[in-house]
Amino acid sequence: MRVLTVDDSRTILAMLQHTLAGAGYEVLQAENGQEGLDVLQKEAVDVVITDINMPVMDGIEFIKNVRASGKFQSLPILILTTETSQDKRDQGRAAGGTGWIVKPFDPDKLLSVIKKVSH
Amino acid sequence: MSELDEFKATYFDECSELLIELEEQFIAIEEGDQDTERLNAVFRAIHSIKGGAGAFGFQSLVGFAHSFETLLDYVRDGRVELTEDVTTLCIRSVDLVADFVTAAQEGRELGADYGADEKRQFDALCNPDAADDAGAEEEPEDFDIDFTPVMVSVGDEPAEESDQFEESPLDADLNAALMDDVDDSDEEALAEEIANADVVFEGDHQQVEMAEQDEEDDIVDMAYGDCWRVVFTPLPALYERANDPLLLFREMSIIGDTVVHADLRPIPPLQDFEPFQPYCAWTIYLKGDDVTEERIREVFEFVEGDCEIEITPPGGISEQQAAHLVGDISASAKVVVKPEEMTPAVDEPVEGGDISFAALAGELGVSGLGDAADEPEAPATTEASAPEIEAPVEAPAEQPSAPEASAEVVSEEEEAAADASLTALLDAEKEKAPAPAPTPATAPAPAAAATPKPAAPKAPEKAPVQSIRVDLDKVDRVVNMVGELVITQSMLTQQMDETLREKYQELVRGIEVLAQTTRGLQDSVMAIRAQPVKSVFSRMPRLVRELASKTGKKIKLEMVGEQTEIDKTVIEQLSDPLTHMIRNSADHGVESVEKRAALGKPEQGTIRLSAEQAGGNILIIVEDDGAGINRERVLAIAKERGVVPPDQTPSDEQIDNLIFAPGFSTATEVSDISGRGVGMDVVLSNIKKIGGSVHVRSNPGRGTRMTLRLPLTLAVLDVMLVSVAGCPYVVPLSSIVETIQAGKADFGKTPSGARLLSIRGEYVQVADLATRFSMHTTAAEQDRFVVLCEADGSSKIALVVDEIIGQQQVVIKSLEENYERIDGIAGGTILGDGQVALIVDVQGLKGSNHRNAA
Repeated sequence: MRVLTVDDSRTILAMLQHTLAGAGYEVLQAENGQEGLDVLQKEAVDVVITDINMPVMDGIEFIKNVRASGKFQSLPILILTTETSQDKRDQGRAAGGTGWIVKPFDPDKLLSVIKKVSH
Repeated sequence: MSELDEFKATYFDECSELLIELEEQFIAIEEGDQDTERLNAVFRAIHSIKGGAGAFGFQSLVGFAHSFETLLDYVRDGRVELTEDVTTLCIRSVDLVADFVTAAQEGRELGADYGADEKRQFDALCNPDAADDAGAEEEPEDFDIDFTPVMVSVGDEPAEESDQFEESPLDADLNAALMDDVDDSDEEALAEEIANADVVFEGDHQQVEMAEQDEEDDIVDMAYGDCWRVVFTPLPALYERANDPLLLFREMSIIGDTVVHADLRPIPPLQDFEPFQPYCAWTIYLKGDDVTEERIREVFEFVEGDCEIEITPPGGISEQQAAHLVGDISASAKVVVKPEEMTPAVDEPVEGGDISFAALAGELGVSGLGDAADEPEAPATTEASAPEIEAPVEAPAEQPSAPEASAEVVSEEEEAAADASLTALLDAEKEKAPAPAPTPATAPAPAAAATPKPAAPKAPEKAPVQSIRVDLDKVDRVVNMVGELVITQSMLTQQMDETLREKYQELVRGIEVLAQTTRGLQDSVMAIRAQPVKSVFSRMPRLVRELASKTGKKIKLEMVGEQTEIDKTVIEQLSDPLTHMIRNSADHGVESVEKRAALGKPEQGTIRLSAEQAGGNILIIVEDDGAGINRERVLAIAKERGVVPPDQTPSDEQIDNLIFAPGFSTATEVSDISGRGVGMDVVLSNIKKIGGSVHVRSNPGRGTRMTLRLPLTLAVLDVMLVSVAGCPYVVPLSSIVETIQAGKADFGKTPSGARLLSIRGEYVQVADLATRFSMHTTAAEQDRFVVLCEADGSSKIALVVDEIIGQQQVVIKSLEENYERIDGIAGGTILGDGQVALIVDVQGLKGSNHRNAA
């Protein structure tokens, strides 16, 4: 099971990596949406976890781009966000986000959400 | 270091970078550049700080950053105007964030009211809607309010639906073709089976037992009667977001025992089949001690708005209703599946099913199928569970093959849609692959449109510069080794005498190339350590702004050459001196508005900060258009404090540079800005420490110019090689002003016996290195040389040496580390021929001479 994590914060990437690798997932990292797209072009990924606010290409744009490619229409994409506000989440969902994880994430919750959306 | 500590270290690292960026961005914003991308960048930075803080439980930081972030969010989408006041508030708040971060790093708590004022201002600015928004934000789970359950009828008018199936000969053919082992030729019954294919999931908690006989009744009596009922109808959006009903069922089966009924009747004949339309709806019966509406809602958390859902608690439906919902019980199939068995099945399509059907679909010339890559999700689900279903099913005696059959019909029919498109129609349909977009009616208001923020335009400095982080020690090791290489190379070059040159031309050419490459390598390695002075310069605009507001002066700061690069260590040492110099200019240099007006100067004073490379040095110049140095007062104070002997009359330039003398301060009243006279002498000592020098030039009434001369790098020094009593010494080139033949120089003596050199009317102290270092030289006086050096910003010293050999670069070796400290010697180096040469500490010599003279 491979998870692509996309976040411009090294802290968050490191923590995701720790939690996911600890649960046996293989973790790929990207620092913004554009890098995320690049990874998806090259690597097979089962689940994507992406931040919303990122430079170069933000999470919303990233999700739109992923969904626009026929190849990834059924790829689960989880939005990683500190906002609990409905509109942020909905932007992510409108773009094609499958679900979301609210930062700061509880490791168990993170894993259960990944399980929830992955086959 | 524990993992958590490591994360924290990463976080604080990141914070300091973000804080610097925040400051830069706000300064640009303050200067009027309110670019959207800048506003996004500051928002992101605060957001990231908050995000990490949350993870580590730095609550006060989270709280403050959250309010700040909210304001920035309002600002970037225009709900709050970015006025000068707001910008100032933001800049101050960045400082507060920095304080919170530092406190967190040091494990301290700031006072509860720290930043409370700013927080209140944030809230006030965001106010009109803030109250509402806050409410909405705090309770994400509270979606009952705007959620309207839509009643979905299941099992209604089955006859009509079956008619539809009947009308479609294609369907009938397909069904017949698919179900070899089903002897049921009654199409109507078949259709009903399709329409009522049920799947029962067996949870961990409790088995929903199903007797072979009367199982329907069991379900009605036992299961449905006291089950939660969830009617679930996906909308297209659900699939567009890669959600999958199967996964939802799986999730449900974790909280209780589930029975899932699929309502397949809406599935149209194949020719009318729209691959992106969700046709299936499901009714899930859920039983378990821990089942609550909240838990059920949780399962559907991600698909809220992307489906119609109706939850009815146990007892909410009558048995009649339940029976009605089940429809024609005799025709429906019930199967038991353990949740854990479902999981792996998904990846593997029913063996043979897809292949045969793909072929069949091709044969039939199926048309009207789009790229079904997305749509088959749901059906694939059903299909996937089908083979699993076969095993645990307790095949009812009357209709042994019906469950499998109906399940497979569904699955394969759907599979067909996928496969037909994927195989036969893939190429043709590729262009129109993107969803035919039946707009999700109940989809949440597209807030995306409200805050348009195109990701494409971005600040140029944000262009993806690839970088890696390397431990500074590693770089230094390379720097050192390259240094040694340079020495070896120059040693080789030196040994090339004329005979060798003629004899081994190839070798000589090789060494020349080596010399070039080595130089290139050295430059490249040095460049790794080099950083633009921007990182220090960028802190100055704020400083000037603060100073201006504290003193009530109007000051503009101009910065030039921010991209000039210097060694990282030099940069790190630069911040304090530069701060003092700017403070000095703002406090003592630039006059008050009234005074400037009276003098006919523009009200706004200008401080110009520039950096440029001049040879092997970097010049950093702080220049103001203020009053200049008040020489009378400086001299008076200097004499009063004994810095200058009462009878001396120093030159203007010397007076100007007195401001760097230790313990000197001209401010009659000590201001809280420039401090208590610990400013400028700190500048000098800091700059000297990194091998630089400071020089002041003042033009009374017109302004002051302070020049910092800094070495490009600390590792390699440009020197002049001299010899004293047969021993090599090196003098840093940066301090040399000129060289003079001693025989032609004009020496004299002070009454105390110290030697002086008169040069162009100026008397300079003399240090004979031979005497100073207690060596005996045989060189005749007239053959010796004077190396005139600038000891610090102000005074010169004349070094007398036996011979001047030439210029070269040397790698500095610490004498303290390898031997011990020696007065007048700054360090050692190894020359090309392997000899050790000592580096003359010009400042040190000057100091000791000064003491001797005084």
